[in-house]
Amino acid sequence: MRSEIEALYRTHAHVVFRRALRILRSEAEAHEIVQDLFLGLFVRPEQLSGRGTVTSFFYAASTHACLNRLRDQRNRARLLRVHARPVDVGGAAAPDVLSSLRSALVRLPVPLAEVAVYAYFDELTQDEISVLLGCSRREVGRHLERLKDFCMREDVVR
Amino acid sequence: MIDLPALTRGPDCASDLQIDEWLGNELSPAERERIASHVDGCARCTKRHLELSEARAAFLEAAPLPRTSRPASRRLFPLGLAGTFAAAAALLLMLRPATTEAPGTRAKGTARTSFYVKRDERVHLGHASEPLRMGDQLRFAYSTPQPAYLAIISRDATGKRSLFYPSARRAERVEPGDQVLLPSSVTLDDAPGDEHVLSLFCDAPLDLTVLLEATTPFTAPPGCVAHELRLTKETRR
Repeated sequence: MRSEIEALYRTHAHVVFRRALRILRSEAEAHEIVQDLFLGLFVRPEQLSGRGTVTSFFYAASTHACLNRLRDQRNRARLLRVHARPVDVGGAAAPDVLSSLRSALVRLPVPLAEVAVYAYFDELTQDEISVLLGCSRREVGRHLERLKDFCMREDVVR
Repeated sequence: MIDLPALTRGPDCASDLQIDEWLGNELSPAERERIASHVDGCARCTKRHLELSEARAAFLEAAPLPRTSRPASRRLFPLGLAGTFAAAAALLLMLRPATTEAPGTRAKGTARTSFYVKRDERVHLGHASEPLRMGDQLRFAYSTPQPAYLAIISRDATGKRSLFYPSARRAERVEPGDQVLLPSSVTLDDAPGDEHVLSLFCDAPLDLTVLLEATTPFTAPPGCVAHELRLTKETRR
């Protein structure tokens, strides 16, 4: 049984780590996110019984875990202060632009923060985001518009 | 005002989610074919596929098993909790990869390897018929629908055999996946002629010593499925 859990770790833990590192900018925090998710699966494996692929489950679960961690009052200031210099983890948008959006994640309402991660950190399609959020594609479009409005009104966190 | 970043992915390009699902062997055959075909012809997607594959390999090298740096009460796999083994059994049922092939389709036999070529700091997905050169660095990727013990051995035109993967003389376990990068790379030497590369997907951790001896046939031993590549070396003038 343990080998099956370890097999799941080998096939999907890197996805959790990579995304957590991109959102949190801390290797230690990203490793903790990996540990928390796999411990949670070990205790409650029924979490995997939803629709979608195992990969999409880990996308959603790691996004929730990272946003919760950012919102943790004790961690937020430390993460944003200590990691003010972006660490390049490759891929989508340039690190400096993600930095300001990352700072905004803690102020965004939950669905908008998730949409921001999927649309701008992962560059997923609206169809893919609708599957991860469990809502319609039209609703995703509305969330994106609200996100743009929010960013127009907000000041960059300095 | 917070400037939202411009997207770097084209409308037809594969998303990270699709590439991750591809690496995790979770795509249907039609989706896999479509994405592989696009990646093959798209520099942006080839690069991103390589980045995600390398990130996977690097993570597993650094953390092959879940870390246990926390206090014992928060270890990832707590011992002595009988109920968790029942939970693990339930997890086992849910871990079965989505069935993407029609009933009766042979899963075995589709295991294969491909390779990336690095030359002059540029990387591309290699093709068996392309002329390769001395100094080219090759990095192999494997695809298998089920766990297997993998070894990659080459034989040059002189008959000399080399072990490309793993580093130890015993086939190493790999998990199911599609186009999963292996952690090491090889550099082609100046030996003339073609390289015959044999990728073995075995049922057990095969001792490779005998196969590496020059006198044995260069074919798959019992318990192994072989995928063969013929690498053509460019003749320098």
